[in-house]
Amino acid sequence: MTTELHAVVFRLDEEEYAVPIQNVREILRVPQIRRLPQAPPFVRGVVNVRGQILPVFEIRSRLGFDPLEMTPHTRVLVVEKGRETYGLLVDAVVQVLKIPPQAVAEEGGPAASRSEFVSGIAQLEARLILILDLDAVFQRSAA
Amino acid sequence: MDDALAKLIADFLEEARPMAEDLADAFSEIEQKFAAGEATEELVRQVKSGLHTIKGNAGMMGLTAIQSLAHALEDLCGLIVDRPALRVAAVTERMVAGGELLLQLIQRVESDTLEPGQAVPAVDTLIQFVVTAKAGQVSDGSSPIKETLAAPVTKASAPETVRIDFRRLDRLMELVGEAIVSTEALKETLDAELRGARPMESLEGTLKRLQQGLVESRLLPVDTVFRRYTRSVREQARQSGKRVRVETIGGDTTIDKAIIDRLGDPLLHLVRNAIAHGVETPEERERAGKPQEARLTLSAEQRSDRVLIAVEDDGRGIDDRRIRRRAEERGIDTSGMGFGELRGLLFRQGFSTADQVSTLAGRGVGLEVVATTIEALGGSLSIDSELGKGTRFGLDLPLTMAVVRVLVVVVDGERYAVPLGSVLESLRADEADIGQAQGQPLLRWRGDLLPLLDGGRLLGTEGGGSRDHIVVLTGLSHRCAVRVDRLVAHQELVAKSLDARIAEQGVVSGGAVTGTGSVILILDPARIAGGWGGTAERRSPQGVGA
Repeated sequence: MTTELHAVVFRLDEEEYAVPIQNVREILRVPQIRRLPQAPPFVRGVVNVRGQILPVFEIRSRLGFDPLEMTPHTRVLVVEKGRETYGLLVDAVVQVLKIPPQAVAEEGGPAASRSEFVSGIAQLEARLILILDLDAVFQRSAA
Repeated sequence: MDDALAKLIADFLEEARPMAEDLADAFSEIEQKFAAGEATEELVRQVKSGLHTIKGNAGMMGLTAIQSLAHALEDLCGLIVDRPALRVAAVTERMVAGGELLLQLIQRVESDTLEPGQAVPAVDTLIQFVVTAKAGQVSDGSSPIKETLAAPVTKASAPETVRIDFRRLDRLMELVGEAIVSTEALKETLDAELRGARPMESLEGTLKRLQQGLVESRLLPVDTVFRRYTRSVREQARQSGKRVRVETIGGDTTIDKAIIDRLGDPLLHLVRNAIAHGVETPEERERAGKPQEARLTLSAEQRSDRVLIAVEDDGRGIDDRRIRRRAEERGIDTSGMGFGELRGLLFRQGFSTADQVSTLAGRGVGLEVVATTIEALGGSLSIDSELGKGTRFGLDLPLTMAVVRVLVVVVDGERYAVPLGSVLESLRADEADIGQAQGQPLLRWRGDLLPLLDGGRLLGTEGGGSRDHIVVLTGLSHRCAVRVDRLVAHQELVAKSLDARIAEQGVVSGGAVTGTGSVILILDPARIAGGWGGTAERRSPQGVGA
């Protein structure tokens, strides 16, 4: 990575993850989620975002965490990637951050078990931030 | 326009249309008889009586343009009978043109482009001509008056048109929609080779083109709603001591009539809102270094299969600090909110930032209604605003509406919509008609035995609802019955497809946003009847598509 990464950082349990800010259309408080029958467990349901019906994915179960329990901090990141728009349910949004390229290591590290969904790890002082590979997490064949 | 008046106008049109057609023919006949030097008194008398009837009825409906036109033509008839000097081509030509104009105005009322009280310049031109003729100042030959009158007439009468009741188009549209759905279902029953066969492809292509053709026949220019506001804007601005100029851009952009019909109220809200809250008084504007007269722009443009409509003013803009303050007064935590989220609050129920709520447009209530109406149409509403520069409300609408008629049912507290085209019957569950074979519950129905599915098991809930009702469904080749708790309503929904990753599986074919903003899922009867429900029970969800 040669340029700095402008990213939205969110939390899953004690781990911090980042997605590029250009892929985040908006951050919502959790709207009413309509359960979808016969859907895989990581599909929490669908929501109405100003007339658009979007699927909401629970990234926790995709990454091997326990299912999410809603708290006042729970947020939906509305992600736009290519022609697809969907919501990601996260524990909390931490901050918007600029990550310098020299802070990012390509792979390995403590979260290696999730590495298939992680494109890199940024180390900022004592913090480790996992950079999420959106394509890998919710590519079509995964659903 | 309220329903009662609309009904009266429909009745008026039904009567006026054939009369106007006869009149137009009669005027041509009068012109020819004049030219041939034949007697016309009897014809003119008949014409006058027809004009008198139209004049009276149009007057009752407030269709002043038609009323004035009929009156002017009556005068013209009187003149040519009483004053032989006026039996010249210049006069009869105008009679013929006036007859065409009458037809054209009736057509415009039919297509909602002429409303009660609306003036038509060509009518005024004709009235002017009658006044001049009465004063005896008619020269033969062509004149600018004739051109302004005749030009739009020839243009409008050129295309050959057939009038069709819009409901009939709607029905055809529905039928094509059903044919497309059936074709999809048919494909699922075929093996891969037949599925890709040329006749199948050609059938699908033809159906798509048929649908496209019907869609196009339902398109109307956005101008039909835009034009309604130019007058009311001036009126409202005057009342509130403001000066506003209305501009429209892209009024010829077309959109589904079903959408146009429901766009009136939301647009009116936005326009009123802009004048009441966006536009400043002339004094304020002058102090801010802006022209005294504010500009309100209504614009429309088509982008692929969407139509973007905007209501934009160059007024004071939205003060985000005020939204924040207002939100905090109402106990909403705004600390983590960006501009988008903050402004989204304006669409919430009862949220108003106006220091004084105007009777014309209580911002908050109005915007919430606008947002839900637009969403129910399958569109979305956005706000852009810069403090001191102005505000722009954007409506992103589908070019056409795919309306499905559905039966809404409840299973374990969740609502689902079942397309009515696939519902053979809905009935109360009677245990006497229910049996079992090899562990599979069956329903005895009209002499047949149908598989009887439990709605909860089908949809993954086991909430112990009453299951008092049964809906008999038909897929393409299979029928089945599903037990549900409650039948709620027949409803029309604007169906939207779901994200491809979740739509490729399961018994849900799409979703819709209801009037209250919640999502309702639309079930796919072909998949349910075709056994998808049964197979889904056996397969583990994790295994789907892996």
